[in-house]
Amino acid sequence: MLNIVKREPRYGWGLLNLRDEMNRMFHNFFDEYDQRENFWAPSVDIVEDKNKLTLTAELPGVDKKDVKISIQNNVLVIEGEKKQKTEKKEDNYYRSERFYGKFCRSFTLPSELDSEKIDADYSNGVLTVTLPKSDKVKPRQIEIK
Amino acid sequence: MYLEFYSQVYAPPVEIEESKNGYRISMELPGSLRDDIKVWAEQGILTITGEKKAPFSDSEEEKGSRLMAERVFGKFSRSFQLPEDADTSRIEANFDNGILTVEIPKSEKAKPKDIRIN
Repeated sequence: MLNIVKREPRYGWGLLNLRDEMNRMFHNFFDEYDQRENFWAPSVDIVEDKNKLTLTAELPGVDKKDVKISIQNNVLVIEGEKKQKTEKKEDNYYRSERFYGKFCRSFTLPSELDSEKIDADYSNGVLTVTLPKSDKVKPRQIEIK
Repeated sequence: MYLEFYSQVYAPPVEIEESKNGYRISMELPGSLRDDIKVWAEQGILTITGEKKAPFSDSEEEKGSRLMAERVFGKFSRSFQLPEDADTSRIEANFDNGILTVEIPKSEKAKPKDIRIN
């Protein structure tokens, strides 16, 4: 389960991030090695503005039919499978950096969202989920009488 | 300068396959637009460059409202040395669902041929 936590954006794979990445790698390697083999996690951005939260997930080459989005008790779950196109036996692989297989990510949402109006769209390999805030928490100007 | 280079250019993951008729390079570019990608072959080297633009502006105000930031944006560039039997005059590129696929056929000369015994 992943809570929404404010974090500095990461642009590229700069050397400054290298130490963090190395730490993360060592930490994860022994813990998660077995599970990692057939499991990957798409990169996700969440942007907040006045009226809504917008979640974008990178799912290149994933069929729309293979993605499932559900929400229950303020937890948004995105799961699915990235399938490799029919593999021909005679093909040789020179290099493979892409991941395939099942994925699942869940996010605990702040309670002030209007879960009835959640909208999802998939285009160009990016899944966009729009989560509008409920009217109660939207900033509102109060007139002085 | 070294540091600057790596923080500005990133390498999207690729897959390279060989079949009887040619080679295929597929690259993951989710969210990129067809017009932002450039593919060319020169002197036996295939280069794919472009820019994955962030869907939001880079102002301080916007940055502060990013609650989760795992996606990488910016310029990308990758080059591949093509094998000698690649036919660079017939390369085809296709962009679909966030995947760029470049098909490089093998030249007719290099294809395996059965020789009939007279």
